[in-house]
Amino acid sequence: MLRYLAGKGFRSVLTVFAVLLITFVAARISGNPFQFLYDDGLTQEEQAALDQEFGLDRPWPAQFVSYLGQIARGNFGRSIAQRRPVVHLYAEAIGPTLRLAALSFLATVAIGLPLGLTAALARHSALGVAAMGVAFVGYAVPHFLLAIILILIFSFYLNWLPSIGSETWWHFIMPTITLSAGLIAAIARYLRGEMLGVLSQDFVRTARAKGLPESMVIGKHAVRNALIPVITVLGLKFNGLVSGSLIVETVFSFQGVGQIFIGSVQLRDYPVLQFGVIAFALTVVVVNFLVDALYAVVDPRVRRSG
Amino acid sequence: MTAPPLLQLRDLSVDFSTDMGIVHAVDRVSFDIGTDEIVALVGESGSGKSVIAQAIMGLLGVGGAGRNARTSGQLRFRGRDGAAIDLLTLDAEERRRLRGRDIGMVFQEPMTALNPVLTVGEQIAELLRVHAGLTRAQAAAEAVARLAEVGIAAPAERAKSYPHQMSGGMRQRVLIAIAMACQPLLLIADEPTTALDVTVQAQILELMRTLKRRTRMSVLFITHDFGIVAELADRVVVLYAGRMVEEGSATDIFASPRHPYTEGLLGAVPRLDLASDTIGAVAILPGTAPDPLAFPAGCRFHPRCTHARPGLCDGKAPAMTALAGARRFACHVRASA
Amino acid sequence: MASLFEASAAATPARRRRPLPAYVIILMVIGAVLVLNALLAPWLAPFDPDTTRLLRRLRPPSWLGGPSESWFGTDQLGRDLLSRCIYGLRTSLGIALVGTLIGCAVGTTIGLISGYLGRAVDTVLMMLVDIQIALPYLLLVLVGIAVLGTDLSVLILLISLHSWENYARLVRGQVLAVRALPYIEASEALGASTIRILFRHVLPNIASPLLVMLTLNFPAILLLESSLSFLGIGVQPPTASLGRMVGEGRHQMLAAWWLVVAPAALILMVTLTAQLLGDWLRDRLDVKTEK
Repeated sequence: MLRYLAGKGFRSVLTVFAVLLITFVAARISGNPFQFLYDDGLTQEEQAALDQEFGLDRPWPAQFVSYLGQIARGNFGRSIAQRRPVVHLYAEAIGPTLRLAALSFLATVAIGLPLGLTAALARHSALGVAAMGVAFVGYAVPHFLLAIILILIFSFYLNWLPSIGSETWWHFIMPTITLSAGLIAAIARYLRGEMLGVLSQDFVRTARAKGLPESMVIGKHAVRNALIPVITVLGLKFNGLVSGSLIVETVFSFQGVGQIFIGSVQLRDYPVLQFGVIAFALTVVVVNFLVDALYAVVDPRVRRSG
Repeated sequence: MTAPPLLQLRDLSVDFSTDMGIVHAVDRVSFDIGTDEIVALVGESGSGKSVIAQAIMGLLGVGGAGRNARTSGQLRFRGRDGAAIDLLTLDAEERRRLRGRDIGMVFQEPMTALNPVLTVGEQIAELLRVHAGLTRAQAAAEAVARLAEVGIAAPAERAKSYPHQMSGGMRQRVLIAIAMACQPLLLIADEPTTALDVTVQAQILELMRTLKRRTRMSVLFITHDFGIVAELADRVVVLYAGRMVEEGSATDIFASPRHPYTEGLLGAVPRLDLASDTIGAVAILPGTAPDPLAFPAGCRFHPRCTHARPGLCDGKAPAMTALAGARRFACHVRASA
Repeated sequence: MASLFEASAAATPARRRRPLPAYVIILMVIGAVLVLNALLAPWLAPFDPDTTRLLRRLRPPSWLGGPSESWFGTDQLGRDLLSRCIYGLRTSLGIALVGTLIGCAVGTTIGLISGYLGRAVDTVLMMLVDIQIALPYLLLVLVGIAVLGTDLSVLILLISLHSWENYARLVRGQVLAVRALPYIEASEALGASTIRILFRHVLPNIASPLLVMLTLNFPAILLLESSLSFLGIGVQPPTASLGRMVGEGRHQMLAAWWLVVAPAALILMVTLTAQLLGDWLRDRLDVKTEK
């Protein structure tokens, strides 16, 4: 088990490193930040002076090595565009993003799981079909369309909810719906499929033959087994969730990390961009670890063999 | 047999409506299961024997493929208070309370019949909590005792194991412990040894015999293997394509089978050292089991029967002919002979 | 690594043929109409989609009192919305189709190589899969466009990179499974060529899950293109694309809602149709997906 974890850890570090390297090089190929910051043009001297100030005059390998040394000491550098520490930029914007992520996750679990269960248990009734229909639409409607439809209805037509900004809780309603709809649908669809599979399994028949109340047969025997693979799906959906939140932040003019990240790509603000990528890759790694750990908790078959 | 029977099946029929049409899986089956008696229900796969088991358990109505099942007839069951009730008239909740407490069931597939994410101790204990109202601690202790009873070594440790850590034979013992946990009046065993290898099979059969002797419960043993029937059963009911074809004491049936189908099956008894039951059965009986969507008219066995007479056997279904010693069979040819 | 798909390879022989369900026939008809519209765009569109007529800007659809020749109304540059929808459909379907096929081809090839050569090659290629998963895809696109420009071929290339890893994992898993079969080991020992084994034994085994994956991947790719175009980093003006039309139209949402609703409805129609057909195909072919 320890060897397995160590191997996995090593691979993760390697992955993060590779992702960073790719970003580092690709960003530098794609352009110099000062071309974008000063679009009326710079003289040779001005450009050279700026490059020197941020260490961009040295060869790329040298830049990369010193960057690695820097981040090893916990220093992620300053934003080229804003001349402030990168970490501060992200720290200021992380609030709304985390809040949106947490709300969306809560919504996903709180709505997706019951929806999937309903769809599975009541699959022959109108209720189950309706649940599946809701899940299906959520699955096939892209973030941006849902956002537009919501704004059209709730902001423009009904005038109930603010369409841009992230100041109050009201501002979070539509973004949360937008971001979680796809996940809710995915989880519901998946859980339904798993439940139907589990319900036809022998051990569920055994549970019924034991005369357990139906609530126990479903809640204790079936759901637990059906949830195991759902955890994996949640993990797999993480990347999509991040891409989705970038779109949601754009559409609802959210001052979150996504905006900072997209801005850094447009301006080739290398330190900001690199930090964003490292943070994302690390989050993916951590999420994968959590999924594995959770898996081991709910599935005893993994615990020993892993 | 002086005591009144524990369970009386009267004209039990089960129809399934499927996409392809209606399947008459069980057609007017009537027999008794006496107190302290082992009845073997014998037939090929698709003969309706497992459907009968599920009908008795009341599992046809709940979930899965049973949703489209329609059951008719009577299942008169004498409960612990001695009063007979028709199981089919009970509501879902009353039936559930009978399940696991008064009627236990052991399934065919020990590898999949246990929940993979719960310890085996818990899978026994939950039953005791539900039916006997034991506390968590009492039930856990009792579960260990039940494991010991079915011959599992180091039961206290084993109770904490998960199914995947056990062998097939051990899991089948656990399933028997589950079925027996509340000391049921009737144990239904649906081919409990089919998936096991021969030595383990013998051990499990021995265990069931021992438990039966100790508790004096009745057993409905479902099998397609006359070798097991010979070892275990007091009485035998032979099914073909959803209908009863013969019934009698095990000794009588083995000594003089009346129905040609029974003869065929007996000819196909595997010797224990060979133990490849299905292969033998197919080799002796010509033809294949009929399509349940279109059972043959008349005697359902007639297309495969070497004694069949045109104009007689393909006309109407044969009635039961009763013989002395509670023997019955359904065959036009033999009844007139 | 668990493979994403598991086909129940044991075919069910001679099962009674069931007729196509009515909804599938309807979906197929809708799909065919959409595809025909895209194919025949130059002949079907009443106007040139890119001709601007500034005197006729933001007119409502003809049945809401707009000009009688513009059924869906006109956009902020006076272009005929119906024509743009037809051409946008053509663009979006085309990009999605090519992108899906390229992604499938790349992923399948990598999966075959990875599974067959094993060892170092496998390690490196699977590392690539890990990187793809750990890299924010949108970043890949943003940087890719920054480096390579906004040309349509660049967009298609980037889009096709979206889900190759799913195919790669599916195929690799299948190759590993097939290679472990005794008869394959035997024929390898007897000197059967690698290519022959891959084509004779591996590909036929994954045809069904691959087909289902393709069908379900298609709407996802189409949504991806729409999302990118919506953000303004996908298809570039003046080329009509459904996503871009929604993106541009949203600024006029209050004054001219039809600018958003018409392309949005089309996107939904295409993706729902493809998704439903994919689901049906999956159930029909009895393929288990994990996604």
